[in-house]
Amino acid sequence: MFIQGISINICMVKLVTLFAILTVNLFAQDVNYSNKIDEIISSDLKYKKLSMPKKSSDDVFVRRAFLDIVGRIPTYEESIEFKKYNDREDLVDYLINSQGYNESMFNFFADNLRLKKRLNGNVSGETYITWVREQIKQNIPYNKLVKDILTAQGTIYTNPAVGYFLRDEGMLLDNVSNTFQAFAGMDVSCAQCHDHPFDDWSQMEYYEMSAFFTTVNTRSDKGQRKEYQRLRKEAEATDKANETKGALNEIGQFWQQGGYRNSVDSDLKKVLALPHDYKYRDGDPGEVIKASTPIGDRVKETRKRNKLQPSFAQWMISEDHPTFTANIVNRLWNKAFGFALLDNLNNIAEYDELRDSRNDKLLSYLIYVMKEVKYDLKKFNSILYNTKFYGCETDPKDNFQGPIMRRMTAAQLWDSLITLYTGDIDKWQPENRIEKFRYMFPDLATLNSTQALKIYKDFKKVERDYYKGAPKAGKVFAIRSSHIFDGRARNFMLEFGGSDRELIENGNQEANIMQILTLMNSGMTNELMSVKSRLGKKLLDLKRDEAVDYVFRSYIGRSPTKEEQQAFKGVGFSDIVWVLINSHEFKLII
Amino acid sequence: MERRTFIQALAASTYGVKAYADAPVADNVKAKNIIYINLDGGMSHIDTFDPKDDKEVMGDTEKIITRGDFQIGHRLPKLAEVMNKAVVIRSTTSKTGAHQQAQYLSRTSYKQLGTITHPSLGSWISHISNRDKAIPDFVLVNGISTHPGSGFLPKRQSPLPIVDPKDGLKNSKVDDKLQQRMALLKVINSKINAPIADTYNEFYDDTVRFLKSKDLELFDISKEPSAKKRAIWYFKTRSRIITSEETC
Repeated sequence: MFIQGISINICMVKLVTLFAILTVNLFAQDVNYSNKIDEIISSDLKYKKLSMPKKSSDDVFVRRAFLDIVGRIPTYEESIEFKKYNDREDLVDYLINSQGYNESMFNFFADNLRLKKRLNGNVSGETYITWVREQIKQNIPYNKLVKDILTAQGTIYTNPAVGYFLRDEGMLLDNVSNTFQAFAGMDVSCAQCHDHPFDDWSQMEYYEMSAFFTTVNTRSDKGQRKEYQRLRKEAEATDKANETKGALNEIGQFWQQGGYRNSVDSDLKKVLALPHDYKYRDGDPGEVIKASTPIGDRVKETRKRNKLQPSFAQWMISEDHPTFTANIVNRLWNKAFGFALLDNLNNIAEYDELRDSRNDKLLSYLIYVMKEVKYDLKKFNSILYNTKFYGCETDPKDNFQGPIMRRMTAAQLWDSLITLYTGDIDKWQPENRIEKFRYMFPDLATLNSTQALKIYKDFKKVERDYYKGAPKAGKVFAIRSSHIFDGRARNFMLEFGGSDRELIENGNQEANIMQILTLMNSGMTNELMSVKSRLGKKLLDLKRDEAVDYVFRSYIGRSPTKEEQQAFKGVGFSDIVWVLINSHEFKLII
Repeated sequence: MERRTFIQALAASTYGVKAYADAPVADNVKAKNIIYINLDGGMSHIDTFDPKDDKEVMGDTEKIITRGDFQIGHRLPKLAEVMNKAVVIRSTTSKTGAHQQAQYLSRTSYKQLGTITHPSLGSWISHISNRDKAIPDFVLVNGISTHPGSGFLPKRQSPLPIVDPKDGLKNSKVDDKLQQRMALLKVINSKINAPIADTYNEFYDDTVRFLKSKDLELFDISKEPSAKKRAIWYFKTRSRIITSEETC
């Protein structure tokens, strides 16, 4: 116990007293988890003859905690506030329970689930996006979230979770690959067309896994299509009478966007057959495949075909699944510390075994903790961010000596710039319109084309109002990256390596000249440099020294040094802002 | 086929269509510029540039003769007439049938590994030519975020990405205060010592040289004739459509 106390406190400035050691046991269980993590890391470093990193300064810690937990830099006021209280645990607790945490986690899931504003089949993804947002806000346990996604049925309006299947509508096999990659960190996509060249996955196993989803039906039935044809004929007649083309086009849109063409239900008769060019001995081309899980608990297809989806979901989230828990643990660790325990987030296993990690003992402990907290991501994150290791100085060299020094992600950078611009980035929130849309589209059989067109018109009007009341900076919306799915602001994020959400978590933090031109000259930089900006106006009441301090702390989270005060003597507001936006300390998480 | 021949042939078949119109692709042709168009998915090769003899494989696509010494699918009759100006490579293959890995191989010539990233073609050329340059060696127009960059080569060998070609090179005006600001930037940046900071220092130096260069005009597409502008716009919109349908 005593040795443990010393090792976990190396990066603390406080002296370890016997009293402190004794009170460890009285802390909440979560604190013990954090301490144990520190202990594992420090003993590993000791074994490698590396030193434990130093505790980072408070200013650095505050800025980093804001960026990692709520996805943006702190304002001047927030930075000062912490200086007064100076309690890291309190700060982490405050941040994790704020709206910013939800937004930052939304970006995490948006990249993982490849969220787009429009799903395959031209259906609006808005309700699905809102649904994901709500799950995070309510801190729904991760295993339940995955289960709800994998068993969802209905239209995008009656059950927005079906968005997950509709995202890959018409591409069942791709959807299965994505499911394994997103939730199990397994890349099985090779086996879609042939036995996996490096791994043990066979094409037969791939088909057996996919067979769990054969009953998932995303196309409308004959009856619906008949009604659609009737509406089309009516619209065609209207167009003919008026010599227009609009009605027919809009009926088509109504059919797609109303969720009539594509929704999710069960077709228990559907089966999955091997492809016509199947070339292995264990099956014949065209042979019907029965569902079966190749790894973990063996789950097999029974006579009750309506149980296929639920039994697969249950298998995926089972505590005995070889990678389900490791996958989410690895991704969250990566988000917090900037490096993964299992490199290549999307491919952490070799068949049914985890690859070697950077610290096996730590990984298995984190997996244990995730199960102990029952997949409560808020709790798990809070355990990570409350480790002493998180509060250490960053490691510029990737030696497992502290979080990695890295550039902000595109989203962090955008949200930080918008924070500087508006002061409170989370004030504007889009309305949750799931209920508004839920009953908008009634049974097709009850409608004539005039009514259908009226509904579509109303729908478009509501849909357009998504950004109602959102603040603007020049031509772009000055809102969170988590609300932005297209347009100029989205281009900004792509420029800085944000995930295009075609593939799972495929963003990058590479540098290029375009990014630097953007930081030097973009409209956003100019808005912030203006003396009429929010910050510019604030400085009017301050003395010169205070003003410089205010700007420094607003941008890079610390006061200027003596040397910097000297160098910036007589320099105007715009120039100081330009220099700070372009400084390493602004764009890097140090 | 040797890599050098491949690059030369590619240059001749894409960028150099006019310049080398009637000249055969000779060993001593040196490409000055290369346009590499990468369609991320798209039409099947057997329906386009690589038709087969086997009727069963071909479905309802027929072979047609071209002006070149090879045949292509019958749905491209107009392209067939200019195939004497193109080289079609049919020998590239991959042992992995998985798209992502095969695309990585085709873009970098290396197998995808979890622990290292490899450079793109442009980064290699930039690295080998080692030109004392004011403007970047190559641009990446509308690239997807998985397109390879400089890989393990220095970061300054990364492409200049242009997300939307309609906008040309945004944010490239020079302020007369640049020098003074850069000096102040050095003061504040000197506090951070880390490899990543060095990378950004180099990028900033390159960018300043770039901004002062006369070649900057090259990026101003408003000065291009309108037909060309349309072509660029067309490429942008079409390529978007292709990417979004890639896995259908």
